[in-house]
Amino acid sequence: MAGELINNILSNFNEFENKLNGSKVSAVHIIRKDAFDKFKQFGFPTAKDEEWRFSNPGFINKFQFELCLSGNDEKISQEIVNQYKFENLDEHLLVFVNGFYSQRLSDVKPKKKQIIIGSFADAVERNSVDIIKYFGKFADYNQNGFSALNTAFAQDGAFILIPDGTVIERPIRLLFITDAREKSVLTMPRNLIISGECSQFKIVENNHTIGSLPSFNNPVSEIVMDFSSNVEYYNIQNNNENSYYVGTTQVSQQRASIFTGTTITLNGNYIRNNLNSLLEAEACETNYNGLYFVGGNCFVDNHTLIDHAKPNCNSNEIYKGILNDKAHVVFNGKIIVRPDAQKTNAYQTNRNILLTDDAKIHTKPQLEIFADDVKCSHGATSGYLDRESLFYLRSRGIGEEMAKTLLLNAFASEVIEKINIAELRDMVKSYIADKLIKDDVYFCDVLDQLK
Amino acid sequence: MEDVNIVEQITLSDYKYGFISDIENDTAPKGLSEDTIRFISEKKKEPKFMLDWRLKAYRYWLNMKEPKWANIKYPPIDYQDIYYYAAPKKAGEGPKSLEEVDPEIRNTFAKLGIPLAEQQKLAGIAVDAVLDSVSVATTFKDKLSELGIIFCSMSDALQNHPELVEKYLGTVVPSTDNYFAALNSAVFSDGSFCFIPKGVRCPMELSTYFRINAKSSGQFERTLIVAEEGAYVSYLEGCSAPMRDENQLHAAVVELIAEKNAEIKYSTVQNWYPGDKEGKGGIYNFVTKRGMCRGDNSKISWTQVETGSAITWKYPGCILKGDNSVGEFYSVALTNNYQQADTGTKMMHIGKNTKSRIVSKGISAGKSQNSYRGLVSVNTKATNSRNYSQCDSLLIGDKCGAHTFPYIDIGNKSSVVEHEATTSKISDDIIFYCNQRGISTEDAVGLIVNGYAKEVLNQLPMEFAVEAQKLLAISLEGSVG
Repeated sequence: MAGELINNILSNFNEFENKLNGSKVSAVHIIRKDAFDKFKQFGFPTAKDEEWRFSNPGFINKFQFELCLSGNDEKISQEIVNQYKFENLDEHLLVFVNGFYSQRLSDVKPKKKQIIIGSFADAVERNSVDIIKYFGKFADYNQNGFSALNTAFAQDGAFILIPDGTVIERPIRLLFITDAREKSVLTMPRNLIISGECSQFKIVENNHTIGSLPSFNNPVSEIVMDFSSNVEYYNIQNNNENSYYVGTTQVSQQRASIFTGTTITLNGNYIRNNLNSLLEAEACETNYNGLYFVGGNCFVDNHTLIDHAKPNCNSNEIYKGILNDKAHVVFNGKIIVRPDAQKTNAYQTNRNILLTDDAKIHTKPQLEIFADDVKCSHGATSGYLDRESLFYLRSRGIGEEMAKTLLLNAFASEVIEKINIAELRDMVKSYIADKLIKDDVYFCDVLDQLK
Repeated sequence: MEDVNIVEQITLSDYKYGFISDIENDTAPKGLSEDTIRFISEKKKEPKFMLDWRLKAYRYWLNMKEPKWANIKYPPIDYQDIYYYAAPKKAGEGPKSLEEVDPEIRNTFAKLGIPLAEQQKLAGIAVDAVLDSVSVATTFKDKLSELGIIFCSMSDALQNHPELVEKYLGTVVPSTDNYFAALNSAVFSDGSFCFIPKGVRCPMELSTYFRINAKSSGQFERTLIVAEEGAYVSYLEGCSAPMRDENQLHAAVVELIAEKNAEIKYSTVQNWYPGDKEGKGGIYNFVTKRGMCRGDNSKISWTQVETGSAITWKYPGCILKGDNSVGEFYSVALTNNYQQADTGTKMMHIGKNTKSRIVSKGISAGKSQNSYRGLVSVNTKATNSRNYSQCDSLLIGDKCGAHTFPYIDIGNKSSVVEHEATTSKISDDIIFYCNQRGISTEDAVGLIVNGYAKEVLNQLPMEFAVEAQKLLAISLEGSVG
């Protein structure tokens, strides 16, 4: 593991420590140091690790990524941000440049004083809540080099605290802009999201790289959910062909909380999503929805873990994908039902359609059950469009291409329809419709209908 | 709670095959070294190529590490504390007919329900019985040889048909395949060899019975079945071992080769001693089984009923190389007490239009852990391939575990792969339904388990299906009255 990046990181950490001055001995920094030691121990994973078997992160040694140790948003204009806005969407917008919060570009308008939608660095400085109670307590950095690295350099990111009984209507959007116009950069945003009792809100995460040099984003998010809270987390991934992404989201659920995680992957070079939920109390519900519609040389790896630790919880997971060109996709969905977790219902589905012979899918739906009174099932399929459905449409005078488009749209819509933000749903819908019909002018009518 | 009682009763049922036969053994010195391998090879009067092959495997094995990825736990095995060769002592020449076989051995098999002599007359199954490591007697040899079928022990095959063994041995499971396969290649002492020539349909079921008898001996048998173009054979294998406190090692290798249009059906009922109620003793069953559909339109079908062994580590697989070839895997794995099973299959689709089907039924009771681990891999060139997998788990009691690790790798657009898995316990509704119709809870559990496993049991040849049903009944005794 004697990569150049590793050496850079080792010296970066000293630099980082020196910059901290007084806060070097703070409790947060003790965790950072511990995580850094862990990172030094195991470095980056390789294809020899079971969890990284098909997703060898070889790119880390291929490019000269430079770690961003401080924020600078001067070079990012409002126009750039506007470019990534969703049409008609009224939102709380948090903008991050190379992983650091930009107040200038952000647009947040909370109604109550107790609501905090802001930056992680701020929260650490002001210690708005007892950060040490949360930081590094959920996203385990003892397993995975990427999480350890993020924890070691955790400086800024989003900090969201929604107090008890608060419902936030507008979606909170986290827009991460990576500036790769002058150099290849590595960013490591750290997000902490705390939902109070009976609170309810939606979060949308986007990563966008500007410039044509390679960029590597390694975010870690911890979501801590209190009694009966309801959080929807959307990650819409539509970055450029030179972007590399390894993201970890760790959710901790208390009694009767409902978490819905939706991951839509449309473009990127290397995307690895680790989405983990720990159901720590009874009567929780976890929903994972995923859709990947990728082509080119795109590599997507979705690793999910739903850990049922307590009885009477439900989980539903559905991941669907359409693979074009030379796309390479990994799905690894693990469900654990611990000995105490009786009366668990856990369902998981992974369906794939391959459009070419060069596309590849590795899927591993995995169940580990230690309790007997449970209902668990998983299913995985891979194939081409159903011939009979195609025939049905064609026998009714619909051309082959159009029939295929219709069927693919229908296939994807099962996941898309689960998006609860209308503007977002429309965006994904029309993006997919566009992409399917891009090459064929003849079907412009269909395009309009589908939109 | 009645349920709790039933679980306890299941846990308390005994191993019925645990008798020890008092037979004098001819053993190699304990431990493993090149000398041991030379001893085995010499004892069996093997041709030179065999010894070289063994030594090559042994030298490779020395540099290998024991695999740790399986979902099983066991204390480290001391490979120097095992007898690698234990043969029933013979006076000079081997037995010419059944009458010459040691009566003690014959009794052993009679107790197992395989009376060799009787079977010759009644059942019409040709049996090659392997006690500890050495083949004891082979029935029906003459009748088979009329058709050109060779069915004999591996040592006989090495004496009489060395060219065939050399041609096929290690072509499906190379000696360097994995840790236990390499160990087996180095020290295997016997096994069955079966060769069905072109166009011949084997008229009877061929059967082998394995039994570990001697104390602290390991059993390393090697089975090789070759079906030439258009041939058909159905092969059965059964296993058992006496009750002993220490763990015994069983590391076998089975290779199947099906040429064009050939079909091999391989059925096994594995009933090694599973250890006692505290998890003491029992067989470590680390087996490599693989079939190669080498020619077009060939078919290999694996059926297994696993009730024994303290630890099972076994993945019978099919390499579907020929176009239109078919692989099947049917399995019932029952674990009880402290048993651990990590078993499943591998289906490697390489040829076009290949098809595979996997039906795996796991039943865990007591404090056991039962894992299904499978791989379905469809090569880019394996267009129009089809796989259907179903793996269900049934949990009896709240201290056991059921796990599934299916790997699915697809590399082309025209193939269709489906995988389904469910885990559940026997629902109270079903038990209630049976109770209400006058069926006791114990009977109901037995009924349900048998019904649950029926899809697999139906694949077994008649005689084995009966035995398998009995085995399930014994293993779940208490719940079936």
